[in-house]
Amino acid sequence: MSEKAASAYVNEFEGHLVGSVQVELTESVLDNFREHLLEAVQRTRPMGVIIDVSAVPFMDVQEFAQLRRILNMTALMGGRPILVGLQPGIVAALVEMDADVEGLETAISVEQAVRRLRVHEKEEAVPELEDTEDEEDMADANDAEQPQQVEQPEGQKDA
Amino acid sequence: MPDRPRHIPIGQEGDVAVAIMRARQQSQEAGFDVSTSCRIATAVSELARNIIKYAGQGEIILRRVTAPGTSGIEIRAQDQGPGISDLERAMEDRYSTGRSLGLGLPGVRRLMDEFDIKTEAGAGTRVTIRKWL
Repeated sequence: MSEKAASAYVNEFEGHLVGSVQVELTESVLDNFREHLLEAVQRTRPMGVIIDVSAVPFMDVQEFAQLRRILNMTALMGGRPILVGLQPGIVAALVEMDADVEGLETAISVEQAVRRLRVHEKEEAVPELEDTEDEEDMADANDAEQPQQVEQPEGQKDA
Repeated sequence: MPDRPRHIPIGQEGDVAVAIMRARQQSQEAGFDVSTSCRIATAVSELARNIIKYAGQGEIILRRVTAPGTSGIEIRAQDQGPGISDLERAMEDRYSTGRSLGLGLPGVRRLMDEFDIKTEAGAGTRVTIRKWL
């Protein structure tokens, strides 16, 4: 159905993916979205996967949980999922209903998410922390970036 | 203006969507803001999903209610399912009957102003909730 195709779409932006859902999240809308999104993650290898739901007027606990699973899937593929634009009424209801929101990265807007990813990218680009003057800072930085620092220079592997 | 109650039969996934849509629509017509309408619809969704999950079928009834100096909306969710055997526990937070969401009844109560439940083993469950403007 063409309506479904237009209800959720995925775009590339600055090396990230921006997925947007424009309608109420029925199960079929979410299934459709998941398929498109995961395929795009595999194809474009984005750093960030920004999911914009600011145009979604309503979401119940179950739909939120399903959306959450999709975000988890993109994380498993190596993307960094950021949920953007949950409306206040939805947020209030979800929290009252004890929906599982732990560990979910969110941003107030797509712009904010992109800015955050830019900063992160710059930090990652710094070759090495040579100064060991401030050990505590070092430890913090290492903790925060551990998941990303697994990449070992194995030159020919990808060639 | 006498408002006729709206009966929404609940028996499958698609009915939940209808109940949600009607609840949002009727809440806004009754004068609730978007945010509050969202809360009401969330409560309706939870009750409708419980009907499907535990009773198989039932119905949701939406109607406007009035009280001295105010008005609001009432939602009744009823089924002839197995009933809730341990109501006290079902009303405790984080009690779950196997699935991760549990019945969600404490959450529904938090979302609304009034909450009443009648349940009987083998006879069914009736939840009545109200929100006032």
